[in-house]
Formats: sequence, C-alpha cells, structure tokens
Amino acid sequence: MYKMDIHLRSGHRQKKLDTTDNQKQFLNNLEDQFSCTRSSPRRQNGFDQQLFKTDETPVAVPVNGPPTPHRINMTRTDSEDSEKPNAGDNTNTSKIFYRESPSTVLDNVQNPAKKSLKKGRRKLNPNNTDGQGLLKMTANRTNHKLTDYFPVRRSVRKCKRTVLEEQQRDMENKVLCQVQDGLKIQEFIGKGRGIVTTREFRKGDFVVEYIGDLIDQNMAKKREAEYARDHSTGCYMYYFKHRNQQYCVDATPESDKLGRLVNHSRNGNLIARVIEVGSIPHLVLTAKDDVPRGVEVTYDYGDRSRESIRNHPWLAL
Amino acid sequence: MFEARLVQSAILKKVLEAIKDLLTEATFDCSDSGIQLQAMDNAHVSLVSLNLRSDGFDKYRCDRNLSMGMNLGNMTKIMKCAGAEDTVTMKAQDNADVVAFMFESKNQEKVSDYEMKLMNLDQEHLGIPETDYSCIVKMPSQEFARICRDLSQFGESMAISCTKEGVKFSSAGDIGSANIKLAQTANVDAEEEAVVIEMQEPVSLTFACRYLNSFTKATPLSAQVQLSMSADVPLVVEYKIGELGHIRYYLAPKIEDEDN
Repeated sequence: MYKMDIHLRSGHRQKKLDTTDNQKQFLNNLEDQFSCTRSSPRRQNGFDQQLFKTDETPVAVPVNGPPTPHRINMTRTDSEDSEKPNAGDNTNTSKIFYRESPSTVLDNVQNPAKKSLKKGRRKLNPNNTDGQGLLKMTANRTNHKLTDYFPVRRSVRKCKRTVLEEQQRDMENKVLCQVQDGLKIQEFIGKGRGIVTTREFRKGDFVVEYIGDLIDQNMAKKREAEYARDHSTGCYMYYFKHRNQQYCVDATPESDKLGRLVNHSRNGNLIARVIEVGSIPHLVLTAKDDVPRGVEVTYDYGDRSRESIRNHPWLAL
Repeated sequence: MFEARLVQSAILKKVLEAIKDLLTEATFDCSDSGIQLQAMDNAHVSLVSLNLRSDGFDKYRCDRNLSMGMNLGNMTKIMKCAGAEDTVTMKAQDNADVVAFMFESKNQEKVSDYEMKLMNLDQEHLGIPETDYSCIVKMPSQEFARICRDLSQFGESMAISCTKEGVKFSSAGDIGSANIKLAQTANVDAEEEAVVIEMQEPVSLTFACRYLNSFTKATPLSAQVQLSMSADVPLVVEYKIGELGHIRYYLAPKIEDEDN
C-alpha cells in the first residue's frame, strides 16, 4: 500500500571507474601501445619509417618503382595534439552520490501508523486514526517526490576529463554517421575542386573525415603502382601510422565524400588526427583555429619530398 | 565580507519559524543580489525556496558570494534572544566558519552579539522550471491556514479543486468527510481579504495535509497567500515578505498508486 522507492541519495561518494572510456583514450593516444589489429602481414620499410617522422624539414624520399605524384602524410603535430587527453587519466573524478535513507524517512513513508504518531506529537492531527483504516480516497495515493518533477541541478562546470570524453564521444559519433555538413565543393581555377565552409567551425571541431579504403602497406604499394600508370588519377593515398602500424586510406575512387577533396596548404586551417572508433583507426580533419564560413579548408599533406614537389609545385605552398 | 541589517528583527524570526518545521538545517546563499535558500525536507516531498532581496535590507553588503550552512534549531535559539523591537545585523567574513548576529535595542542602549558555527552542508539544488500554472488562487493566508488545520483532522490528504466559480478543499477519513468551498470574491474592497482566482483550466490535485500545515507556519509573514497549481506538477504556495522578498513552498502531489 505504501510502497516507495528508498533509493535516497546521500552525501556518500563513490568513485566510478569507467574502464571503457579510459581505454579508448589510451588506445587513441599511445602509439607505443602496439597491438596489431590487422591480420595482414606487415613489412617495415626503412624509408617509410623515416618518412613518417618528417615534420617541417624536407626529407628526400627514395622512391623505387613508378613514382606516384604525391602522397599525404600525417604530420607530426597531431600526435602531440592527441596526447593531451591523456593527462589526468589516473585521476578519476566522476562520483556518484547515494543518499542513505534516514530511518525517520522510512518511517514516514512506509509506516502510516508511525506517521500518525508523529503527527500526534506535532499536534497537527489530534484526532487522526491510525493508518489502517484510511478511506479509499487516500489509501492508494502516495506522496511523490519533488525530485520526480524538478531536476537536481548540478554545476554546469565540468572537469577537463569529462569535457575531453565528451569531445571524443562526439567525434566518434560524427565519424560513425559520416557527417560532412557545413561544407560544399567549389571549383578553383588552377587547382580544381576544393572544399569551402558554409558555416563557422570552432577550433578543435570535427570538420570532415578523410573517407576511403583503409588498407595496409602492401596493398597501398600495389595500388600506388597501379594508379601511377594513369596520370589523370591524381593521388588520394593518405599514409599514416597508428600505434606503430602503418596504414593508408585510399580515397582514389570517385565518391561523394568530401574529405578526399580537401586541398593542401602548408598553413592550412585544418589538422588531421587519427581517432579510433571500434578499434578501427579513422582519419579526421579538425579545425586548427576558428574557421569562418565561406573560406576554403586546407591541411598540410605533409609530403616534403623533392620528387613530389617537382611533380607538384603546389605542395610547397 | 558579508553584512545584512534588518531594522525589524521580527521578520527574520518569522522567516525562521516558517522554515524550521520542514528543515533542520539549510544553506543560506548570499550574493550581491540578496540571500537565497533552497532546501528539500528529509523525505524530498516538499521544497522551501526563500528569497530575500538585497535592496529590501536596511543595509546590505556582500563582497563575495557566500554559502552559510546553518543549523536552524540553533539559529532559532539565537533569534529568540532578540527583542521584538531590536535591529538585527548578520555578519560573516569571506571564508568564515562562523556567522555573527548582532541585536541592537531601539536606542542603542543594549547591544548583544552572538556567534554561531557554520556547517558544511552537501545539499542538492533543484532547477525549478518556469511554469505557466493552470490555476492561481490568491486568498487570505489566515483562511488558508484555518482550512488546512481543519481538514487535516479528517484525513492525511486533502484535495484542492479549482474551477472558475471557486476553489474547493476536501478531505475524508474514518470519522467522515469535510468540504470547504470558497467562492471568488465579487467586490474586491481590500485585496488582501479577497479570494481571487485566475484560471486557464480546472485543476484537481491531492496533497498531504502534513506538509500544507507546515507551510502555513509562514502565515505571520503575509496577509495573503498564493496557490499555483497545474495538473501533475508540484503545488506552489507563496507568501510575500513585504518588500523584502518571498518564501515559496513546493509540494509534490499525491498520485494514485498503480499497484493498488
């Protein structure tokens, strides 16, 4: 008759350890936590190793076989960038509050007889009968809690960790949904298609994913050789290294995805990051600074090799 | 530095009387705009929201926001030490663990100082949404107190039904039933004595008498009380505190238990 949930909350705090989120961050950031997720054999090429460490300084790339015009390499800066979320991983600050049920509360809500005794003492209800004989009108009604109606207000300020987790989750969602809004294709004289913003992006925002086939190094080599035969293909091979594993996203086939059309600039307004969604690495282009609407978005392809620059002078821009 | 001065200490006494029935301890949040207090009773069925505006005080200063957790029983003890005509000044340092009450008699002949230790209360704050209520009843606070007292003799719960014609309070129990109907006052001479109903749609809700009786402890603060109701949301019982602010009580309605 007087049933009530006694999940009252008290000032007791309990630490909650969200292992999955922790892992995600770790996995995302620690390159040296190597675990091979791909079944294909991996072959380390000396020059590639060297290549992916390149930063601003041009490095001669020994190219063997038919040279592909250019390749996109992950620049070093992003790994520094992605290390940030790691900070404060061990200080888990999320807390759950439980409120113990004080016995008086229990008595009040569960035991009508006692309740009426209490009332007697308060002189509010001197002629009250005991709870057993309540009439129909009151018998099957229970007091509801105010917290069922009004939300408990928590501070809107979040700890850094929560903010980063939220950003991560948001970005994963956008990758999963292949979000590419706020962008449009525009033809540029001299360099062909490019991507222009149709809304503002804030610093750090997800802009677009570089979507293509995720392939390993061997496959990439084969495809590169294949593409090199036809000079009209251009190159959409994005090489990157994630947790010591060399990957390539091949976006050469024409598709409706916008990530592949973002042009190069050494001082681009986007920066590429690798994020892992469901243990598969994804290449995400995020805003390096606030990006106003109506401007072209670009990022650094990272290819500084003489060979590439000779073929594509714009890589030096 | 926090300092708030009221020429009439009686107001503070009455405020305390109005909340100490429901709350044993509460946090007074002091800011530039005034003093706020929001707290639920132990069972989380009702909520007290007190607002005292800074401009209503005779002197008010609050350099930094300050939350003072007080045991209301102890505060009552101190307030009882104040004479009816005394001026009261509340004072606290910025990171203080005590609050000081200073009572001054009318011609400054007697000055009494009391200090009370503050408490660190871990209380939940509720976000109360802006609501357009279906029915707003204004009536004499004495009348409301009387009705609550009378009806609580018959049962634990009281139904409040509001229509355009008037408002009906009813209760039933072992000894029988009780119904009190108040019609809207036709000619409003004195606003405080009138029953005024603003109604969008009729409402009927049931509440625990026990809490309503506790709310009526605020009756000395104001001659008029305002009841705001909408279907399936908490009732608001509001008493104005002169020019100083208001005290609002929120009470969750009783709802049919589906298990029975």
